Amino acid sequence: MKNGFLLQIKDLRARIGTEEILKGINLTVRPGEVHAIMGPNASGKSTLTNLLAGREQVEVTAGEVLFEGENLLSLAPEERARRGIFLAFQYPVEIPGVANAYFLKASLNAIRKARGEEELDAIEFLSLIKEKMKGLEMEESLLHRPVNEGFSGGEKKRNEILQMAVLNPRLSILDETDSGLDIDALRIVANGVTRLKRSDHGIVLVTHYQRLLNYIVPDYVHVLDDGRIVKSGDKTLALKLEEMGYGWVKEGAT
Amino acid sequence: MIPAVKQLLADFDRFGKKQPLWLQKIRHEAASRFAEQGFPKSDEEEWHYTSLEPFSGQTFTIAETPEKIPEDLPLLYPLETPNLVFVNGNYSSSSVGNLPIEIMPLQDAIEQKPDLVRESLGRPAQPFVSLNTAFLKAGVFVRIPPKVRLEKPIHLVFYSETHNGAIVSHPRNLILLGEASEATVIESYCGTGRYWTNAVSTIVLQDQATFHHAKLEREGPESFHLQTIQTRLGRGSRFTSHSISLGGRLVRNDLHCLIEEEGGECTLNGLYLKDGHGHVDNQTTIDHRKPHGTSYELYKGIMDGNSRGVFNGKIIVRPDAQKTVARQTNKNLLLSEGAEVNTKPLLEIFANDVKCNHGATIGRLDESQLFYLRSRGIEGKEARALLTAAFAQEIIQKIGIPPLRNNLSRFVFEMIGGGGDA
Repeated sequence: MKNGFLLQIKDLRARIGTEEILKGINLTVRPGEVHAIMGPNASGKSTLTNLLAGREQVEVTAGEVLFEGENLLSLAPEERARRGIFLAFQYPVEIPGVANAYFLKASLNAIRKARGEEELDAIEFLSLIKEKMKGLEMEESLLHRPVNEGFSGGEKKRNEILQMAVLNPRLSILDETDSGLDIDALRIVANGVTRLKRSDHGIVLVTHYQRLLNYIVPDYVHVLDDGRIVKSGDKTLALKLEEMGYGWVKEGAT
Repeated sequence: MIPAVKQLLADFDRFGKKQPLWLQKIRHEAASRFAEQGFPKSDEEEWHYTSLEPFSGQTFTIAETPEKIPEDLPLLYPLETPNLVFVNGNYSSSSVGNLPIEIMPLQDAIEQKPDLVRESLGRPAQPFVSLNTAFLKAGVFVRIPPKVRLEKPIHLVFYSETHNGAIVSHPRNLILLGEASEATVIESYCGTGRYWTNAVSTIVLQDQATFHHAKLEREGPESFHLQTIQTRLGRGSRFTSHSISLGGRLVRNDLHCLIEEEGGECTLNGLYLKDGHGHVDNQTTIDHRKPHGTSYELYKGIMDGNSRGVFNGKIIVRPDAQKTVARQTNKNLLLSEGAEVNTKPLLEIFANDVKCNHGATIGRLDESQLFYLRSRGIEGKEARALLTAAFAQEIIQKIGIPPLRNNLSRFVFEMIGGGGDA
């Protein structure tokens, strides 16, 4: 790591189509930190996460994003993943015809290969994945089914966390991973994430509600509104938001 | 008239002089009919999207078997189960062991089963079937006696090889299934050089018979391939077809299923892949004539480069065919700007108590799925191959012959640019 920072976002502006959605974002994440980004609907949360993962529909118009000191924006999505960026999707897509285990093995081996590590054979892979599935309370049959096809909402989110655990990223971005989960599923998913906390692993949690943060305690909380981070603070900020609503921040910001 | 017609019949006078007179007569009539009919024109509905212009100016001759046949034929199913091999339209070898069925090269059946052969030839209406009959010589005769169930697939291989000049072959197969019998036949077409395969297979299922058919077309890149498959289904019989088209410059598959007794069931699966300037045309007709028949049809196409795909699926439900259930779907994936598909599912329903539906789609790879795979480190090209293969898997997984299913799966993945195993 060239400058001690995992992720640096500087004055970032971006649009989808002709609509400007991000209007000057600044954010810095160091290894080992957990950041929560909260905000009302349509504040730009998902645009930001998709941009970081490399989605083409999001067009950067100004500013820069550095990952471990290097320009992230010029890299293809697969290259970002190989360098250690992981996005847990808000709505993981279903991929009929591709078995979950096959996909995950292809993914892991692509990343290992890029890191100069040995690719895993079928047996090594299977023992790794079974190890990682412990604690996520996932049915083993989900491995043999097509990726996310017919999975319940909770199963899809657990599958995202499983991928995160297997791929061992440097920066994980979780896009509303708590949405649509009942309290048991939330606990399982949150514990899954907590187990992946390490001193060299940064986590960005994007969430609408505070409840996820009862399980995964953030070091920093940021409030995103209308494409800007309008307030930052520690975990008490999330509690205050829960109590007073986003209107309080908006008023405070103007 | 496209010049090829006159030229094609040039070989006729010195062909098959030693065959029995009854056959020579039928062949002669067929040749005259073909001379009258000529090649189909593009204003004929069934040929609207498939131009036969590439045939013009080509000189095709009836060829001999080459002296040396490659030991490793490019087959997707091994020569381990009972098989017959034909090279350049001539019978070459067979290995059928001791089966409780009648199986022989057509030339032997002409001598030993003249009535059955004659009956199966009929009076063809289509020009290319006429042409095939005119040059009838080689192919396979299979008859499964009543109640016999054959475990292993019978594999028919048609290989063509030419190094200078273009050749044509006219394979003719006759497959008869006795009452309550069951069998599987795989037809493999492959080759190298400039050649034309003009094949006809006739399949007759007696009452309660079950027949599985797989056609693997993997002809050489410069070849033409036309085949007509005619199937007749008896009472309560079941016919399953897998039509796989992977090679050839111009490929046309005609598949006719006549459900002529009550409760016949046919399942037609098809997969076609093309790139470059290849052309593939699937024409299927399912003719429901009696009540309680069912037909399920799913054809999927993957088109790349500047290739053209055509699907023309016709389902006819005659007035008598009450309680018919028919479902037909054609799905196409376009991988390039230059690729094109013309699809026309067609229902003609003359009965009032039936359940029929059909549909067709033409689309591209899903951007969200691609992004999902790439966001997990899988390279763009590999991600596209994975999704394309997944599209094909729906058909491949329906094939009930495991070694074929696995070989095909691997081969298709390589064809569409997927790297080894993940």
